[in-house]
Amino acid sequence: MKFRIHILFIIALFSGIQLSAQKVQFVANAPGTVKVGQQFQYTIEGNAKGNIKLPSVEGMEILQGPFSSFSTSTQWVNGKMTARTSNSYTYVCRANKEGELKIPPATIKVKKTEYVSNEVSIQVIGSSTSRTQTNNTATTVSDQGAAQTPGESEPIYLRVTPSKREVYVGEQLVSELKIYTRVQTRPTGGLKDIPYEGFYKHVIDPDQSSQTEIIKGEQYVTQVLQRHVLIPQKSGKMVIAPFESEWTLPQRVQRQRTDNPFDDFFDDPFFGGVQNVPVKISTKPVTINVLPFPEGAPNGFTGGVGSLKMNAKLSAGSVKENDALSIIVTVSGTGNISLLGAPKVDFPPDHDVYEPTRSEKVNTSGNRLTGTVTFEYPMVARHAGKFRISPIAFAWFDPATKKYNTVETEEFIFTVEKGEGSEQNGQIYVPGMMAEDVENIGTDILDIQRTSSEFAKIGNSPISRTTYWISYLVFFILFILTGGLLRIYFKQKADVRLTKNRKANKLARKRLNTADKARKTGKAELFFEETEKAIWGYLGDKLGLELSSLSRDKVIEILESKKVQEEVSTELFRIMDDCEFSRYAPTQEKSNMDSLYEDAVKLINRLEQRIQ
Amino acid sequence: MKRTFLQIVFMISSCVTILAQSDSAFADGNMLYSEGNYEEAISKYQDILDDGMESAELYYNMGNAAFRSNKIGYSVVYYRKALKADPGFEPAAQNLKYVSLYLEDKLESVPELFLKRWKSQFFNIFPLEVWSFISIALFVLTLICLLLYVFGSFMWVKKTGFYLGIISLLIMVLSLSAAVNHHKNVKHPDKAVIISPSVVVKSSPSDSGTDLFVLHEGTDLITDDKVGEWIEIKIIDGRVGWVRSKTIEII
Repeated sequence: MKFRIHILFIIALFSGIQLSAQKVQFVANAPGTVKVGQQFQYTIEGNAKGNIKLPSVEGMEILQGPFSSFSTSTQWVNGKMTARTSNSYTYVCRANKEGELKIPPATIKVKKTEYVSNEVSIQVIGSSTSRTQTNNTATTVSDQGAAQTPGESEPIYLRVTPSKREVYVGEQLVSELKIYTRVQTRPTGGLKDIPYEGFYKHVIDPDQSSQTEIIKGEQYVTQVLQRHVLIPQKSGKMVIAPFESEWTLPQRVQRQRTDNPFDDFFDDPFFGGVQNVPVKISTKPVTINVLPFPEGAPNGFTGGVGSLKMNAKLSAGSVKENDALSIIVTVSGTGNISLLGAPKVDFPPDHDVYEPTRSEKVNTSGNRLTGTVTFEYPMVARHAGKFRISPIAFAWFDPATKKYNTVETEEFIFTVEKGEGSEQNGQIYVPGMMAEDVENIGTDILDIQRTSSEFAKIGNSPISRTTYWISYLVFFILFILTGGLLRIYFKQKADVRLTKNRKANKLARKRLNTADKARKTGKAELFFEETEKAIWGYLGDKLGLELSSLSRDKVIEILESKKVQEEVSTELFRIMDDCEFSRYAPTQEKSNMDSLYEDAVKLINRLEQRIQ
Repeated sequence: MKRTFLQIVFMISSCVTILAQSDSAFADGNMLYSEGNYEEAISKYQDILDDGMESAELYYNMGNAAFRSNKIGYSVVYYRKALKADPGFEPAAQNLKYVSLYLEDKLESVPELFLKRWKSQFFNIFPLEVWSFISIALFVLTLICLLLYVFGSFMWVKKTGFYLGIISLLIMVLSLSAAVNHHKNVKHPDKAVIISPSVVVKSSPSDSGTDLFVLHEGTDLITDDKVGEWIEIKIIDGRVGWVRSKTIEII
């Protein structure tokens, strides 16, 4: 047996030389009949390696391929040995049309010569009832040698591919983690989710099917491993950091080289010369330019991005005092539903308003996040009356048109009826029982003035004008003039009094002389009249008073102020009384007149001494 | 003679037209303000100032419009000017208090001497015109009292004249000094407000000076020396420094 194997190897060693001398030919094979939609294999076998080119065929779809495989077989039959090298190219195809399907010959270019395979015709029969699964599991990697060819492009790599490189804050994009491989591989210990820092992420199921792509002339099997909807949370250059994962890769195990020429033979994968080795693979960093919202966000913008709509309703049109009611605002559409802020609702003051509750339903359709978010604003009416809630505005940014959109509801009106206290929370609220402060609902500057006081010239100050100071001077001159005039007036008045004062005594004496003459001639009535006149006239001149303003009370007052003894004034009034009495008396005695005359002369003398 | 008369007529009529113009511009400004066109309202109000006319209400409305268009610094300037034109203008004082909530610089003022405080409170009872009128009226009263004292024929008239005269003379001196004080503020204003969003205060009047501290718009200042385009300022907590004159607005 041992001998036999040796022989076989020796022959096999030489078979390579034999092969090169063989005639090159290619044969195409395909099943004779297939069903519509069924997958089948179309294989071209030949004894040389080359570049294959299959013309496109109407009614047939190439799903995968070409997978090339290379095999060498040696047969020993009845003492005769045949060694065969075969090289096959396999396409996985699907027929789409009923009828005869003719696959034209394929061209294979080996070195510089072109070879042509045979034409194959396939009978396609009616559609199969159970359509075959189009999802192919696990990749079929036939070219195992690729893993061992150094110097070529990497056999396996991961890519993060975002659907957009430039988005607005809050705008959705889809990011895929895709594997490109030319070897059979699987992740060691499962695959983690990419963290995507700075983004809100939502996982979508990647479709499991693998595909074949030619990249730089190399054939890769690709598969989307993860698919996320990403929503950037802030503006700026956002970098998706390299994501590292561990993969198991088949790799040739280097053996100790010996002189044994057969070692190469054992290195064939068939003989278990390949081992699975874990390899760390990292993605390249990807930069996404996140644009900030444009200026001029309208009122009611709460960070919504996408194409949204809003409506709002009131839970009840009328409630009783202390009952709860709520406003329900629903925002739906495609966009960043989960990141929306609650729109602002202006509740009428004097109600108990609570924080809005939010509930959301988000699903994905066609790689986009859509959904509905509902905000419920609970409120408890405290006072009866009719109230209005001003229209609720909701604005969002539409990245497609790069504009803000706003919708506004109409205004809500609800009535609160008087209730008989609230049973539901045990508190009885009686209006007026609780003193309420007048609260400041909002503070603001006071409004403008509608009318202005008279406008004045700028920098116009009265005291900078000479007229102002001149007016002081004018008033002062007026003062001096008035003072001077008054002075002259008073002086003149005083002069008149002084002369009168001086002449008073003389005048009195004159009158007394006249009285004396009357006394001597016996004219009693004239005597008393003249005496009285003399005394009154003297007092008037001496005291600076007009005769008309003279009265007894006034005379007493002045005499008192001039410190004249009381007996003098008593004497004065006794003489006056006597004169008046005697003047109209029926009998006049001479002696009476004599004594009165003497008394009057004495009185005037005394007064002259006392009054200056 | 005829020419002077014509000149006077011309002066009076031009005065009247400016007043009428100011009134209509004021009404237009108010209309723009009500419509929310605050910037245009300010320029309308500014037209009145450009005509050389002013009033406390005008400055007050400008302050409101400046506040509404987010120019906090200017709103402080205008409210201060309104208060300067009429120290007893209550709405301006209230809005100034409200606007000061928006200011970035919160400065602790050095407590003033009570006499100084009383003095400024007393001076601010009336605007300049009223003070000047009062002092003239009191001057006349003093003179009348003097006459009464000199020529009064009775003792009580003389006494009343004497005491009333002394009191009115005292008040006259006070009101005249108040008027002069106001006048000095008008002719040589020393108060200012920062209007640039932020200003670095330097230790000397040049860019190479050391940075002392940073002030923000709306902060009140007292100005002092002036060197080229630099002004020495003093803030209410007593610190001093130099700033460029275009960063502040004199009240």
